[in-house]
Amino acid sequence: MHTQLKRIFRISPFVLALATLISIAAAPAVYADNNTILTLPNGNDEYVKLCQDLKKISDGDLYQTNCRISSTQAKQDKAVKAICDRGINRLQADCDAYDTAIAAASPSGSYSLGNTHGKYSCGDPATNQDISTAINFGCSHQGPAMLDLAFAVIRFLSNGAGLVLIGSLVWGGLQYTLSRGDPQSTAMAVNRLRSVVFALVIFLFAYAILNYLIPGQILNP
Amino acid sequence: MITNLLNFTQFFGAASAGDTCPLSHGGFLGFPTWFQYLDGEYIHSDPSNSSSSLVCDQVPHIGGINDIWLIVAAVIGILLRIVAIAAIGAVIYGGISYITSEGEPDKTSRAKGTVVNALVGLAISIMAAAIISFIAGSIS
Repeated sequence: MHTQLKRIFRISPFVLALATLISIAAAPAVYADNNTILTLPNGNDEYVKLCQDLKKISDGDLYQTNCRISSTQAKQDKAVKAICDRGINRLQADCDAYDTAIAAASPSGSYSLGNTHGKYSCGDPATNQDISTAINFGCSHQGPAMLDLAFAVIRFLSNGAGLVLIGSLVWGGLQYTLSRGDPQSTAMAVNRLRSVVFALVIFLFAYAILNYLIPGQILNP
Repeated sequence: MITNLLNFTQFFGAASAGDTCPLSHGGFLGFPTWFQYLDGEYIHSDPSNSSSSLVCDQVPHIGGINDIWLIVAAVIGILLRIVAIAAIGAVIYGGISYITSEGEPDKTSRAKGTVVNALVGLAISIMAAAIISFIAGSIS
């Protein structure tokens, strides 16, 4: 028991590193959607001026022919309002859509102008609050976006747990095979097999507890 | 050859560009490849002409993060074959050391241990997949 705990503490930095890697990989994909990009026609002074004005309202900047506006939802709404107040024709359809979105009285008035970045999305698209991701996390498109993403990651990890345990068992078998009757290396192999069984028990308990705590079959969409 | 035939039949089954197609598995010494569970994609043989015939691009496509586990499964399959080869080698090694033990009890028991351990290790590895998939299957 004591050695098993020690082993868990030894591998925990690797698990942490893996979690950090996953979050680093996911973060830009998740938050990319929050920058709305307006593509400006080349040399159109009106749009350039508009972009410079927007920069004062929101965190926008002018990058070549792309006008990046807003970083948060509130600032984005402010920017859309500013564009609509100017009554620029090209954005009339967007303004109308914005007005209908406001009229639909969604409390946070979520609305995005123009392009989204990733091919895939998490969260319910009907609420207009889904996030687009560059990586396909296997989201179920139900409920709040961040919860959907979190459960997709949990599902990904629990899919892999069984496979990793099989791999570890096979590796233990290889160690056993190559131990050549040497008691010390046989003991090492047995130790590995014992920790696989230990890990399987922990995983089964965690899975059962999660399934019990979270209503609605989140682990099996 | 078999894969080509499969492509041929799928081509008549109204495949379009972007559909998945089986990859041809160039195994090495009977070992499966790491991408054996991944699929390729149909592309036009002439990219600029959208009415040209479809061919399999023969590039493993990773559609989402869950496809990582398909690669892990393929690697475990490779590992299982390595275990089988190692077990055969260990049994031969144990047999030779049994022959050359000249009746010395110490060497004889060591040789017996080698053979038994090789077979036990092989049994564990082969049963691992069955055990875990039984347990995982009963969960979900």
